Amino acid sequence: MSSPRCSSQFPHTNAAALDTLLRRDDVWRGHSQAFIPRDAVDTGYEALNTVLIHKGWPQACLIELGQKHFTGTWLLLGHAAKHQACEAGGLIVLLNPPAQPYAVALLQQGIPLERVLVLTPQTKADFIACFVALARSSACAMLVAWQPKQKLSYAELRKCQLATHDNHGLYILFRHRSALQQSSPAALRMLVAVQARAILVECIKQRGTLPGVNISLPLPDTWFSTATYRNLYHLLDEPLYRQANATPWLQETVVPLRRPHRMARNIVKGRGYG
Amino acid sequence: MAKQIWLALRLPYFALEALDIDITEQAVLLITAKNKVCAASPICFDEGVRLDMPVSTARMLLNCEVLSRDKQKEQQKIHTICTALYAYTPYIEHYIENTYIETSMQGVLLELSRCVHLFGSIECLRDRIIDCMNTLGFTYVYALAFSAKAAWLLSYSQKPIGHCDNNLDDLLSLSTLLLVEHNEEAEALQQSGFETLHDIWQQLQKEGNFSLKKRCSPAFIDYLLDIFNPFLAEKKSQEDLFATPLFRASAPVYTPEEHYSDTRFFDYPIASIELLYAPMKQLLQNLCDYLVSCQKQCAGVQWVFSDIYHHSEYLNVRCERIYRDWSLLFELTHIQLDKTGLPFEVDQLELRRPNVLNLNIEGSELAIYDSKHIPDNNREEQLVIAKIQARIGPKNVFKLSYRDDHMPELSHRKIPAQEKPITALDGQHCFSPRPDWLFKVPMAIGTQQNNLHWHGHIQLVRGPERLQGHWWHKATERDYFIAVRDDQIRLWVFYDLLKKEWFVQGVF
Repeated sequence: MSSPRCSSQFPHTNAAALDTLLRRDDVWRGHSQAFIPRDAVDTGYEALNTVLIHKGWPQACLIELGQKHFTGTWLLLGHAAKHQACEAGGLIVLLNPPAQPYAVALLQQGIPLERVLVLTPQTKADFIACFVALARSSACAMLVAWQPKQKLSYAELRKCQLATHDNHGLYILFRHRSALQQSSPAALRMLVAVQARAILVECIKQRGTLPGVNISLPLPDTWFSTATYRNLYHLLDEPLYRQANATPWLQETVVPLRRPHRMARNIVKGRGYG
Repeated sequence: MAKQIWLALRLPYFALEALDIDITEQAVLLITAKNKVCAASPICFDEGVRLDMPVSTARMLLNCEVLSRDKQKEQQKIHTICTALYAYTPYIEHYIENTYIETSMQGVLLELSRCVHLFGSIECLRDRIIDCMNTLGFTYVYALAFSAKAAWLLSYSQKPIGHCDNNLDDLLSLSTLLLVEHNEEAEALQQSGFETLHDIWQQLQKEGNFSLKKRCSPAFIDYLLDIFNPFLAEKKSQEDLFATPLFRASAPVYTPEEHYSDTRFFDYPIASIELLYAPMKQLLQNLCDYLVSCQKQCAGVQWVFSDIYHHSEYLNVRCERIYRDWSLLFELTHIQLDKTGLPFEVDQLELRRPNVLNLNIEGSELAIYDSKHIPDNNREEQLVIAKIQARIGPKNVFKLSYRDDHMPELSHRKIPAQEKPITALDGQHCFSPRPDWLFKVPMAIGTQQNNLHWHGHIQLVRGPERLQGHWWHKATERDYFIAVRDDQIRLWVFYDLLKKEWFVQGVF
């Protein structure tokens, strides 16, 4: 019976301990909807910010994004990457990217190349070691990782998740959408799919809220069609290609006397069609 | 302002002596690539050989050995002379008469005014330098004056000029033909009756420099200014005779090679990395003491591990500039050494070839500058990159850099993590949409039922954008399109107008 006596003797100590416990944002508090505000980085999309309880990508925790094909990466993360590189001044690390990132596209997004570091670990053990080292380093402001070929176990994800608590960076792990059926310690889990007119984002786990919110984010204008070609041979019937097939060297040196076809005119001027 | 004191050491037979030729006994000619005499021993001159003379003419005058000039050896010998004289003054210029022919005279110019106090008197210092030159074994003539150009001209006097005061008469007695660096003006003055420098001096005294300015180039006037200004400064009435030029590049001064090496020998062979940490810290501390004393920074070191069997293993450690705080270098060494391990039992540890740079820190409190001059984030960045490089290898850690080229696969490249990338985007790349991922080699697209097919049906939705170039090497001409696959993935595809084939090169 010593415990009750102790608690009655030191009521302030117990209250302080409980308060400290409740300050943790990983304590489940039922349907109270109470959560500890966490630092977050603006996603660049108002609709997405509204869905996320911290009004942006949450910092210092693991975020999992599930995709079938790794596409539209910088549409989702470009704004946050620019913020983290330019304002936070840290490194943007691309860990195990699925292909070589194109430097010109990064520059077009406004992401300074001097802050971008690409790592290509060859094994899963190296991948986890790099993830943990980067998450524990204050120099890394944003870590974007793509899961290696070998599946990550819950324990390995937990190791990554624990490492993300050490600093205030943004830690994002891209996985195949099928992997999101497994349980994961990540604080935020989302499914991302590019559709004909929008990016569909489905929030399947977010600490402090109930899952199942779907939102559509607009695609950039440049992704939409300005002209569709019924088929390949329809395109190759265009006057320019007919001319190119006949005399490939003529098209850049000879100026046609009669007004060219609309498409051919745009090509000669070096602009996009339409 | 204290007057400068210049000692000119002219080496009249330097090109020959650099080849270790005894000029007093041998008849030797040195020739240039154009087969003209550029140096000759005194015996040859006695026989009538002159500089810039064709070698065939010289050979008709006497039977002598003919050699080619070796500028590399001359450079080495000048370096030897400068290194020896660096003990007397840090201001040493290698002087070569700037003439239109390759027979130019060489020598060294020493500025001594700042070192007089150290050696007691100018005479004492001069005698020490002369003793030093005598040990080097080169033929030389010397002269002292208040300006470098005047000292050099005075070295052509019949007798050595060992004092600065009252040497104006010696200077004025010299012929204007000695102004070889401005040969055309010197000959024109000679023809006008200005036979000696005394005639120019008189002209300046009587009428100022107006008449000379009309006849001669500004460079020649500056040259005269260098010669006469110390003497004119004595006469206050002549102060306005010449206006001192505001901007003039200073002559390059000899700087000795810096060589830093520090070694620790162990009483017994060391097989454990942990036992090396203490001597490493000590060596790095010594390096930082050296950096502070010389006001330098360091951007990397090389460790050399050796054993009694003369095996040596090298470990290069690179870092951002450090000045006083050696802990970053130690941590980077620690990371690399943990990865590589010791190659053998080490008997000797050497710290050598530090990449020493001039100090570049803000503020004036150099000596008491704190180690905090490296931003913490930068330091943390270097450490984490070094750790990851040690884990997965430097090849797997890289940055991307832009390259100015039309062709997408050539418009970017991988660079080491420590290098700074090019980020200035220009040309067509600024405005046209570009994919997030680019394939190293474009992949061919097949056709099925009159449609493009690459892991699914592809529909072109935007384009074309023509990119062409490299006509000088391997002509490339492509029409790029944005295409959408049936699973809504946007691809970057192109039609090669020369190969008549379709390729996919990127994914948005």
